[in-house]
Amino acid sequence: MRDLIHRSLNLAQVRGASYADVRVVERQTQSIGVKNGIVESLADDGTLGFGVRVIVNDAWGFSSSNRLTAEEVDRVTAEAVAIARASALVKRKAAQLGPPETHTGVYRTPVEIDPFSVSPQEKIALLLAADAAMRSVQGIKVSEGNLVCLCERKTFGSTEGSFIEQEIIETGGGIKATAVAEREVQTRSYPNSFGRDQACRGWEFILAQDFAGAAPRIADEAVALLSADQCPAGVTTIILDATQTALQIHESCGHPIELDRVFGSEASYAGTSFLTTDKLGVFRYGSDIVNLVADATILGGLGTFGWDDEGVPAQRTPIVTDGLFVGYLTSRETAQWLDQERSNGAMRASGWNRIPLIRMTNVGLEPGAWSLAEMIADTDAGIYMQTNRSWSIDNLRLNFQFGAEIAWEIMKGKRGRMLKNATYTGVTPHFWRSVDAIGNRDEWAVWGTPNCGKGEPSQVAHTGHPAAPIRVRGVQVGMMK
Amino acid sequence: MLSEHQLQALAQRVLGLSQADETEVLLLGQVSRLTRFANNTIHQNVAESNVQVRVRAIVGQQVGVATTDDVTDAGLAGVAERAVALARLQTADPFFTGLPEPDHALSGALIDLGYAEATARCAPEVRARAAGVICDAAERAGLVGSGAFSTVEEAAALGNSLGLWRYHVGTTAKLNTVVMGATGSGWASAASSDVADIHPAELAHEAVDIATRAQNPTDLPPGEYPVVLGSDAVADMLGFFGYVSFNGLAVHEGRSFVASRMGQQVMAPTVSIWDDGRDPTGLPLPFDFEGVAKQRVSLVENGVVKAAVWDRRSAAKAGGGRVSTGHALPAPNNYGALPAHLFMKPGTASREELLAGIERGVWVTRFWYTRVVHPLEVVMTGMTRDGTFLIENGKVTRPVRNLRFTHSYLAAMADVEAISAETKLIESGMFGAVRAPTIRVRRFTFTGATQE
Repeated sequence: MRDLIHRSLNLAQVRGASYADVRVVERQTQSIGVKNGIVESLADDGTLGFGVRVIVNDAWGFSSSNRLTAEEVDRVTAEAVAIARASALVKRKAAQLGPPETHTGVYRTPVEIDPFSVSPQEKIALLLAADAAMRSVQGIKVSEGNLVCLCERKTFGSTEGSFIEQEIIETGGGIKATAVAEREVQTRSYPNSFGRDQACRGWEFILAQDFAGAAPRIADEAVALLSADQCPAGVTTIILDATQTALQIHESCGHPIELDRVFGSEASYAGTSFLTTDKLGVFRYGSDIVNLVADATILGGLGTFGWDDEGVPAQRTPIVTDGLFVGYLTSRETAQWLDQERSNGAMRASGWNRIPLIRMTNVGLEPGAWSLAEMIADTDAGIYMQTNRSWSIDNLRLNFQFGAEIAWEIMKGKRGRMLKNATYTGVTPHFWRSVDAIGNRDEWAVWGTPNCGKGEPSQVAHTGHPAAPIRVRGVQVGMMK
Repeated sequence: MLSEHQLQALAQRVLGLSQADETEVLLLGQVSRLTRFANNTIHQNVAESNVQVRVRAIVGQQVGVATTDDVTDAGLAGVAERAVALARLQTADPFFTGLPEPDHALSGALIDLGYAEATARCAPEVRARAAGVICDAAERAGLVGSGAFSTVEEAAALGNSLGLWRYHVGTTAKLNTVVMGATGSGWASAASSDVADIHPAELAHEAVDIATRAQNPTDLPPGEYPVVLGSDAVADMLGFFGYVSFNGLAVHEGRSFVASRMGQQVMAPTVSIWDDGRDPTGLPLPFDFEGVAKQRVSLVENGVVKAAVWDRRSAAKAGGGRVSTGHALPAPNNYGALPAHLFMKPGTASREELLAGIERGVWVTRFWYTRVVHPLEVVMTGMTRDGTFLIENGKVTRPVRNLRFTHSYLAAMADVEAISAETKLIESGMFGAVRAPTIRVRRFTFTGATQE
């Protein structure tokens, strides 16, 4: 493999590239899905290929292929160079990476139990036990569960002399119960929606979840939601559980701090960002107690690695400090545009066939001082919402509307009646400036989002979000036509 | 791109290696190229060549699936072995009814339906010049151009151990652009099998025109307004109906309005929606991902719910004599069937006629980030984007800030008052596309607006 990488790097330079990097990526994904007591899917997906990224005439080119042969490496490298020459036809700004990043090394996700060492039978049994527990609740029409184990081995080499090998392991899973009645459908998920929670951890991550133990509760809740009262419309105090806070961070903090978006690189698709560069260091993003950090080094986060896909070491970067906006997620190129010394290592590609883009690492909220129970007890009137159901936000990442699977009314410091179809809406900085309580370290956890979309052609990234429950004052709730 | 002969050889090799009772090999070949531009410059320019081999192995009624893009002998042997090994670990699937038998449901003429040599051979310089046309036009207008121009050649081939063989090769060219000024933006897009149908200068003119008119928007209070929804917005509606409502499995499980309202009038009498994977005015794929020939399925006829789509498994699960309509997704698939080639019947209205009679309403160029709030009623939320305008007394008068809506797409289709004669093809990925008109809707609920 090393030979093929060097062959490509040499050929790229011979053909005129001022910079080139090559990534060889092999990924194995095992996925299991059960539904209503039947194993509906048992799959083992493998992918192996390489991508060559070059700068020629100060412009970018990239090509990729699934065939790892010397002949194909030559063809793909030549194509990448030809594409870069075409890019140079419409060039207003030279592609520049700044000071070289030259690193060698090996990184492997630390795991206690290799998820691939656990037999599929054991995994199926775990899911079927939870599935049976959900279906034991009368009124459940659909019970589902899934597990995903992923191992990605990638090798990165560049004309600057980097040679990096990484093995990233991810494990994820979740269960879901759906109850159906005339004109109503309600779903509850555990431990998170989007099918699952996921982490750069081993099988121990799944064992700690106790799907079967949680199954009756979420099934009961799904059925109860069918006859629950509709979430009323109005302006009130809300408390979000940690999973919904994680989603709120992902959408309203993680995306707008991607510096490529800020500079317009995603304008035609994902959009831009309200966090323009004039706001860096001076804009009040949240209340004084809001501290947000992007940290690719934390144990187990879905955005944890050794080096990003430009070969820049993983880093911890303050994003919001005491409510003040202080940092972006950057690449080597955008760091130059912002006159920053170096990239903070947020370039990630979804596979060998995609270029790295600025993606979230583990963007999360630092813990506060409150337990969830204290937060509720301290709230005179409001709504407590759990587990994301729907999410929508505008192309500047300002105006959002999110829905929760389940909610409860809070009256005089106590959790009251259950509410269905709860939604809330707001504008990002107004929302975060209205946060007056944040969960403490006991309430804090790292959540994984395995379905973050960006880019053309599209890429799905896996991102991490440390989060705790938050209380927010004066929020519009209950949008339901 | 591998030829049909080469793909068939790969499939035969896997079928020969498989120790399963029945085996299916789905091969998805792709040579895709995409040029992306922003800030009036090309900033990303990529290519990919790939073949994915997806093997479904059946042992008794146990099903295992393995995939690879390693097409070496070792890679193919490995994927065949892994699929069988997984099948042996499985429990029996009572709804698996066997693989499709060979038939003559598709003629050879469909093999390259939707294929254009010019698209398959499109050089990076062609895409770069198109990007340049848009960037130059934007720059001349004092605006900033961004967008993406892709040319893709895709082959889908499927063979199974019962002797079924399907093959199709198609192409897709797609160009979209967002042109931005300081306070507003405009959108234009086009898709076709043939890159010769993509006209960058026309798209540049359209996007620059919208962006120019979109500057300095004013606030519009949330509330209920009559709307004219552009083709891109209507395509979003049709796509979500396909995703949450017309999937037979969702109907069977009671998660779709179709379950309780089959045969009922749920949309305006002028609304007819169907799925047709063989219509050359879409982006055709004549068979589904288990090799069943795609049927034209009339989903809504004159506002009345007529049918849903099915794959073999969901049809067996629902029973009642249902059969696959040719809408399976690649295995393993516990989602159900998907209508990926949707069409909405055009009307007769011109742009002026769509606007006529609206005293105070909203023109929506397209929706953005739409999500399901309530699946049964297809209540959705999302934003407007890249050209939202106030309509006053039958005329588009001034731009307004992007609006958030929370509204039932089903209710909107019931309130359709007029449908344009023109339709537009909007590529939706996964070998699919939607052909949609522009529509006028009597009332639509906006629940907020972008503000800083």
